[in-house]
Amino acid sequence: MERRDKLLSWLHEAQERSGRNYLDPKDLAAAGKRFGLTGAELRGVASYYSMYSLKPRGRHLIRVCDSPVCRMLGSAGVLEALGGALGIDGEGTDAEGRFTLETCQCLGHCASAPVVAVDGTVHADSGPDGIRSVLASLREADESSSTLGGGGRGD
Amino acid sequence: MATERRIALRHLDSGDPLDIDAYVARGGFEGFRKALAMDPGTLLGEIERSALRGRGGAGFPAGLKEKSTRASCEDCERFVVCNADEGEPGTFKDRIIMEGEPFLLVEGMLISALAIGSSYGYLYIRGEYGLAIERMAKAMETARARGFLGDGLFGGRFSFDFEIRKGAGSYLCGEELTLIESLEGKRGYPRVKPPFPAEKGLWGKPTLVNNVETMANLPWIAEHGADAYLAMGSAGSPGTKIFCFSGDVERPGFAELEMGLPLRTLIEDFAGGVKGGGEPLAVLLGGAAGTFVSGGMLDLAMDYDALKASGATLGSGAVIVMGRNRSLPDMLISLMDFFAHESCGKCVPCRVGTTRLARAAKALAALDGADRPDALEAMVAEAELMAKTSLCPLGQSPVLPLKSALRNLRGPLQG
Repeated sequence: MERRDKLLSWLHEAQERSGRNYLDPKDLAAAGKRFGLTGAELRGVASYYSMYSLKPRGRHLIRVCDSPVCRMLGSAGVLEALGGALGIDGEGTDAEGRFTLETCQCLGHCASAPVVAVDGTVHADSGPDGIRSVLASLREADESSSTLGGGGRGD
Repeated sequence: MATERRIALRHLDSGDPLDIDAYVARGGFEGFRKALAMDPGTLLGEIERSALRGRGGAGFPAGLKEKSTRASCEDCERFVVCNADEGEPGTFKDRIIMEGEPFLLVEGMLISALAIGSSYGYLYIRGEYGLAIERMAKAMETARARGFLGDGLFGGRFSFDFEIRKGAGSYLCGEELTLIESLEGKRGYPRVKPPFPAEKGLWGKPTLVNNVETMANLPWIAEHGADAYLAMGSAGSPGTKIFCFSGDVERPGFAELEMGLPLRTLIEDFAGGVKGGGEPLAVLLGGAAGTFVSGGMLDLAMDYDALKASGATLGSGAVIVMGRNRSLPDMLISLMDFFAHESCGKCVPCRVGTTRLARAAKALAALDGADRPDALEAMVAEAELMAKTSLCPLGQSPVLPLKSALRNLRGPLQG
């Protein structure tokens, strides 16, 4: 049985492997065996941390920082513009399961506010102009994943 | 004009951050070499005498923490834990250190381990800091291959190594006992203290938990001694601090400065001044768990004691500038939303209190200016009650911005 301190890192990897940015029940069952934990214990941990999801999300995850500095510098407009371009109302996932748009707390890039993280990569100065580069990188990311059979990151 | 004094950032912008030969050529690991030649009591004495205080926000004396971790048992296992769960809004200094000079943090971990008598440690980095995690992992691998981590370092009897653990999105895990719970693979719920980590920390063993910036100061102190460190900064707050500038300034960014400089100097000389010129509406110091000062208070000296005397705090070193056209009530809403989002729910006063305060902030914003001071006073009273009855620093934090806003920002509140 593996010591439990490796659990969070293991869950991060499982979530990446899923292709849908979530913790698959099969992965949770595997984690249960590996770390000697019950389903309730695992869901207790997974549901606590904001980076994990127990429900499938889009193949690409867009997190708009909504902490006090980014909000002051216009995160609401960023969320709206991204939602409009991706066909998502507020926070959520598009009909095709390509993109999930969500807000998050401070990403630690406050000198570049407002910022957006796309699949973990932070895009600075995501004002009206910056949004264009974010959208371009999104389309590129989705095209490359479709050529891999739509399964996400190809690993 | 004041200039930067780089101690915790002294290896920044010196080429490839992962080139260990260049790090050594610049004097890297010299602090560790000197620390290794001292007996632990001398090393602890130097750190204690330097009056270095925790740079994560609480400002607890670093030497005292190390001393009590070492003293809590004889010949037992002790752990070094570096807190890189930097989640305070407006704060990104630890990321700069890990991305830009990862070997300095490795060296700081080594010196911490020598000071407390530990042979193993953990670096807990927030999951959002992908590049910092990658750089630190590479730096540790290189340091291990080159004999700076592992068994019998420098041919002596001292051995030390450490591992990285990733957080998964929880502000509260930056609190030391909560961080330990999370390191153990559990929900990030705070523990009742005492016992403090120095006595019972990771897996019940004595544990030193220090912030990244605090550890990044140790190599310099070990190399140059406490007297040289004491010669910088102000009497009560010696040394330097990394400040992070954000919001309505011309040049957002960071600077490492001797403590005690006026806030005006920070904003004008190192952040390019307020956007559009003139004085700011307010400055939020230290992040969400920080305090407001008004645009008329820019002569305040940035050290622990001077700020305390004005009802303000240095906190993490965040300097969030609000321009004249900003709304204070809107900022209060963001701050209260932040706490409501991050409250873990373990203890009732904080779980219910943060939600009530978020609602109260929205109600305050809808009031006429003249009615707002009374509404804010009621929020302060509630936040004070919450601070007294909550288990951990999160429940004790909302009162800081609220009370300082009431004290220092009457005008902007009504405007």
